[in-house]
Amino acid sequence: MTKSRNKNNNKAKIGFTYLLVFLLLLFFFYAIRMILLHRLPPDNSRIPLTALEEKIPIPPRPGVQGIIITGPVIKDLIFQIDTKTSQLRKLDWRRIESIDKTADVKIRATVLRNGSLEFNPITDVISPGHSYAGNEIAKVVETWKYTHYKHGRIYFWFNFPSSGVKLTIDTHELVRNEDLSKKYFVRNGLLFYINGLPLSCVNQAGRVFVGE
Amino acid sequence: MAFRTKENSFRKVQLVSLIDMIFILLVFFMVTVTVVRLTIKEQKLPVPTPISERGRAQIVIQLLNNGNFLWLDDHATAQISKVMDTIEKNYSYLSPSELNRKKTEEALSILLKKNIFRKDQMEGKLKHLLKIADSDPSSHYFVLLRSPDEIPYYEIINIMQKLNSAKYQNVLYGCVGGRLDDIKNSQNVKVVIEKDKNGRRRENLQIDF
Repeated sequence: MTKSRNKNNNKAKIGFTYLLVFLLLLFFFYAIRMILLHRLPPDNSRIPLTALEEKIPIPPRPGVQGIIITGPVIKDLIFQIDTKTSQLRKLDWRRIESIDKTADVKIRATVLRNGSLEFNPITDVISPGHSYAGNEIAKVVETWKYTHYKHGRIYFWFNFPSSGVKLTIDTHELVRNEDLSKKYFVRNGLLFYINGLPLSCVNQAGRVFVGE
Repeated sequence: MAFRTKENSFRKVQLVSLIDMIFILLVFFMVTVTVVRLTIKEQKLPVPTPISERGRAQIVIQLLNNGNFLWLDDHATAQISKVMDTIEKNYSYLSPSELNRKKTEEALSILLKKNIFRKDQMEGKLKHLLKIADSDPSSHYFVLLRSPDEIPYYEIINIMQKLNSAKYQNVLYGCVGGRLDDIKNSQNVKVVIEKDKNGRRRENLQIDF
């Protein structure tokens, strides 16, 4: 019995010791805080009454200084064959190929500001020895009309015997129309209207050399 | 018979709970006590400020005192853009500041002529906006609602309620105080071409107050 009493007494002593330690810790914590507060200059330890009168500048809210209204997407303009033209004719590649497999026709034309194509069928169509193919192609090409975003010289080379590129279009002399707003980019689209010619046989960014 | 005498019940102090309480008190005072500044330098608290003072929105609705409203959206931007292009062509001889002034005057006159609607047209306009928003869940619209102080609050609440009824909650709105005079007296209206986050070029109408 004495042993248990002693045990209890020891426990109590330990408990009180812990309590004392914690209270001492608290006391020291507060003491250090008080000392540090006292060392601070008076302004930093107390809010002066005059500070309550100061006005905090409120930053302006969005929409108070101006507004930006998000507008429509600017779509690029595409210089291409204008399929809405009523007199537009398609060139039947296979038909001409079946008649004249070795036809080699070059056309030097001018795209006018309204998009229509202009060339002289006699002087601007070069097809030595392939007059039928040259005439047929010229009749079809003169019906082609483009969207009115560019103007200038355009060259076509219909090279039937080629195993690779059969149609080359030279557009490096085309320039953008001046009346177009600068905000638009003008890209090249499909510049030919041909049936039976795979796209892989066409080079729209090539160079065509036509004798003057 | 040897009876065991009852020991005087030794009043035990519940130490565990006492220790817990002390811990709690300690933590409480450590957390709630003010931070003592050890340096004389003042600490500056970061105050969040808006990055841009211009409100950016797909639609701006300016409520007017007479019940009508000014509705500015991408149609207004397209109208103004056309006018700006025409003025640039026809008045290219003017100096840049005069050209800018001319553009601003024309733009404001068109905005105020063609984009002011009657009170009874508000419902139709909002319905149309919600129809477009509901047809495309991936689209997002932000409506900036500007109103003078005299407008009764319930009118603004009505508009906000209608905008809240978008099916996919893709119509957001913000309210700010403002008068038509801010727009009327603008010294700078211009069309600015910007790239949006998807890389598309857009024509935005900028009105500075």
